[in-house]
Amino acid sequence: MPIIVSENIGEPGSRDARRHREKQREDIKKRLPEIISKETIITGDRKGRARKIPIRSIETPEFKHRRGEDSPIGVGQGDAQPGDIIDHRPAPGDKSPGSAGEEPGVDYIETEITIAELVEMMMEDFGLPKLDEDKRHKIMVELGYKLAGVTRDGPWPLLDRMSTAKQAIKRFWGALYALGQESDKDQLLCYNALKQANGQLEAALKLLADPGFQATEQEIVPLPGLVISHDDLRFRDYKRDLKPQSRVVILFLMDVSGSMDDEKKYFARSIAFWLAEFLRQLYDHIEYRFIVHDVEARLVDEESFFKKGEGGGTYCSAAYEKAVDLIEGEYPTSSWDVYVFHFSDGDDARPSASVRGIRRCVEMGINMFGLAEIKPYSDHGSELRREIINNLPVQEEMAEGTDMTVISGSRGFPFLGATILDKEHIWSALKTFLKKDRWHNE
Amino acid sequence: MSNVSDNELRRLSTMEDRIREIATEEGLAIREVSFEIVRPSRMFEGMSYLFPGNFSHWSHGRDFDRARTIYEHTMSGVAQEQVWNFDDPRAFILDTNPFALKVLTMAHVFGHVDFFMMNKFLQQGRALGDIAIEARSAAERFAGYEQKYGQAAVEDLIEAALSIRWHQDPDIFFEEPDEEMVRSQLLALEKARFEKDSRDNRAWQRLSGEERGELMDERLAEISRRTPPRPTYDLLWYMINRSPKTLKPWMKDVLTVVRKQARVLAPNIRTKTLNEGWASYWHLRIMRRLFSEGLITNEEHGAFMSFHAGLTARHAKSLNPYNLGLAIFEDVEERWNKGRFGRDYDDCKNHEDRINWDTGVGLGSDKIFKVREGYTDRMAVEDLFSDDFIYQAGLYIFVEMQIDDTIFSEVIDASTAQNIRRLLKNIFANSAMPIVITVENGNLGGRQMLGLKHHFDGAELDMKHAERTLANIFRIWDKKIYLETVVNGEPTLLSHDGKHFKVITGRQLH
Repeated sequence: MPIIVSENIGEPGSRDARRHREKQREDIKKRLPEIISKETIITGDRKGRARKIPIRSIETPEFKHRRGEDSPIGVGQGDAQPGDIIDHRPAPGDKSPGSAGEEPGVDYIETEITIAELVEMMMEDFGLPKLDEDKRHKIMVELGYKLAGVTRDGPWPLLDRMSTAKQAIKRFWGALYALGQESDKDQLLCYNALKQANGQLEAALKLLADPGFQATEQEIVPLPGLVISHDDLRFRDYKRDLKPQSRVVILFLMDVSGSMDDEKKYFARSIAFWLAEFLRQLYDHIEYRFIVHDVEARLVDEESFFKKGEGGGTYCSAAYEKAVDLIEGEYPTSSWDVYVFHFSDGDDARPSASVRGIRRCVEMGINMFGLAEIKPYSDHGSELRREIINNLPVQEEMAEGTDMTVISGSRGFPFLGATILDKEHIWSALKTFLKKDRWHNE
Repeated sequence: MSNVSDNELRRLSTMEDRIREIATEEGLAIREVSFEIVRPSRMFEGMSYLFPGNFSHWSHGRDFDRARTIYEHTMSGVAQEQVWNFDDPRAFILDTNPFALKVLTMAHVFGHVDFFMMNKFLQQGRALGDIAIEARSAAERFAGYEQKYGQAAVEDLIEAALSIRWHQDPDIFFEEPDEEMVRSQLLALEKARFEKDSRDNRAWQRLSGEERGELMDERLAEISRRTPPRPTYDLLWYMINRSPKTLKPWMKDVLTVVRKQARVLAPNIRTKTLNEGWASYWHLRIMRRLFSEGLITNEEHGAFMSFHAGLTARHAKSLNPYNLGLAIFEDVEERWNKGRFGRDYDDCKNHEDRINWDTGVGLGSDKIFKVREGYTDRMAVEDLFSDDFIYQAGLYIFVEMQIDDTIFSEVIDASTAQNIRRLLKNIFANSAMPIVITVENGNLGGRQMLGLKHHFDGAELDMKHAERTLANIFRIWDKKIYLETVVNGEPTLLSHDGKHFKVITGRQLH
């Protein structure tokens, strides 16, 4: 039987593979709250725009034996003796946003998804928290100079030879036409006269007036240099290169007094990470500043921001004053969009000063003041919280579609306070912070 | 564009002829094989669709992506070969493979084809009809259903069927008889039992005629109502015929096709190790012959040998059927050549004597052909895995345990030959589906709820998978599903009503 060499006809494999990837995306969407609170996504380097996280393929469910606690077993082959460790690997639960435990000996081939794709899915899920173009602050940024268009005069080095030649050719055909009109001779004869006269119209006319003038050239070749005028010169023009750029600064504030333990810090980090990733999608340029406080506030770098502090008392107002200074000095709200997010556990020794601080921030024209109270000591809410409710134009409510209470600003007061009690509230808080109608000052 | 030159093609043709001659000489069953040299993507399709031209489904796409990823990560030296157990066998050869590997694929395929033709279980698989033609025609029909009823409806139903496709009677020729027939037999049996009781049973005789009549009517009525009359392993078959959801013809079609394909493939899965071992045994010998005859160059033979070494390498954490299968045939051949079987040998405890045991009986070749003819993988473990063989093959049992964020795999002390045999028998017994489930009652509580039973063998079910599988069964049955099983050592009922999954501890079906 002959051996057939076949070509591909149709690609059912690629088509079905695409469908499988769609299913994966649907699956991820369903599990977003779980996925985004995974530690490994949040930690890792900041330059992670293109960072990818592995995702499992979709399995058709079947009855399976339970694995996990009762140690999974398998059969292998090799030189190993009882007691030998033949393999070790990171536990899958922390490595990828997958769920069920892996079978022993099965290496999953995983596909990947970028953080940006995840953010996009979250946005869809949240109901389009997209900023209107004109709601963002834009400034003109000078990128240098760029060449643009042509002009009639300029320095010789910028002479645009092509444009100049084009003008000259136009003039050449114009001259031929004029000669024809004047002398009533055909174009070829006119061309010969013009050429012999070296581009001088007067001389050419004289030649044409002579009845014995004969054409020597049988073909018209347009000569840009033949008839030239200063008017034909064209120069390249240049302009300052300006581009509107939207820019945003996020001021992250955090209480670093002793009561903020690792878990609270992790919640804070998780919310901060995703807020930043969201805003990154919306602005051309994003900056972050980090302010930590106990009774005093100081600017720190990102790394120290998430480190555990040891401080004693807590004045939230100190951090708010620092934020006001920073906005005044470096991020005027006339040219920056400004977001302030404060992570605390509700501990505050001078709540009334803090309320004044919040008011000052808001009066500066920032886009939003967010306060996340993470696992406050009292279920009834902190003193700061009570102070805010009593003194600012806010109301307390259940955040839509969650079991989390929020304090939200009314009458255009861009304030939002969320009380985060467990891991699921990370999702609720993000959803609330980013909810569509929070983005516009009514 | 093809990567195969005319010259290479001519040489391959010559090789095919010679390989067929050698295979014939060695006593292999020969069929004309249609070889097709294919681009990688067609190979991946071959590997992921079960049958060429089979219906479209994302699960096939997933496997296609996997095959492609493995190929892209390794580029060469992967076992990318595909052959189908058809009456007219077909096989793919990967066009990007070097020449030596193309020849190897052919030699390997001739081994498979012999196994397909001669192994009695694979003969059964083929006897169920021309599955290739059926698959292609199902693909066309399913595409039509998608157009008409929507992609989601069709693909969800396919998924539901795939979830339970392996839950069938282990005997692929066993067809469930008609319910009414079984029922009348059971009724007759019950009546006979009453008559016998009336004659012989003292307690029975103490009852009045009226009481007896009532009891009998009650029991007979119970039998008449019971569906299925006897528990059945064949979940899809039962649901296709008995689902309270009025399954439309297209739904029955989809379920029937998936069930049939699983039925046809089950023998392949149960003979996987022996089949790959047999094909590897023969490709090794055939390639040696070709080399000794000067038909392949030194260099090509080197390429083949290094590929073969990779293919038959031991895997620390899984069974490599190419390694284990080949080892089985080589071990059996040696033992039967040297007479290392039977009472005398088994009773011999002297190590020295055993090592040098050779009666010169020379039955090796005869025996390996018998093994390929009548064995499944499980039977091979039972009959052929001697303690010596288990030791030589380097088999062990490992467990996985998690310490902090790391999973360690450790070989356990209990890796004795006896334990390994027991575990392997379990693994191979029904490699496709080690969990036995039967339909006990299709009219639970008189409300058409489905009662399933997990035949507990010491290993409990994973709840997450059970939940999702029951949800899939619900899609077909459309009324509440109950599954009797054991959770944390307690008899337990799992239930699913399409929305909620419940674990009811301490309850059983009856």
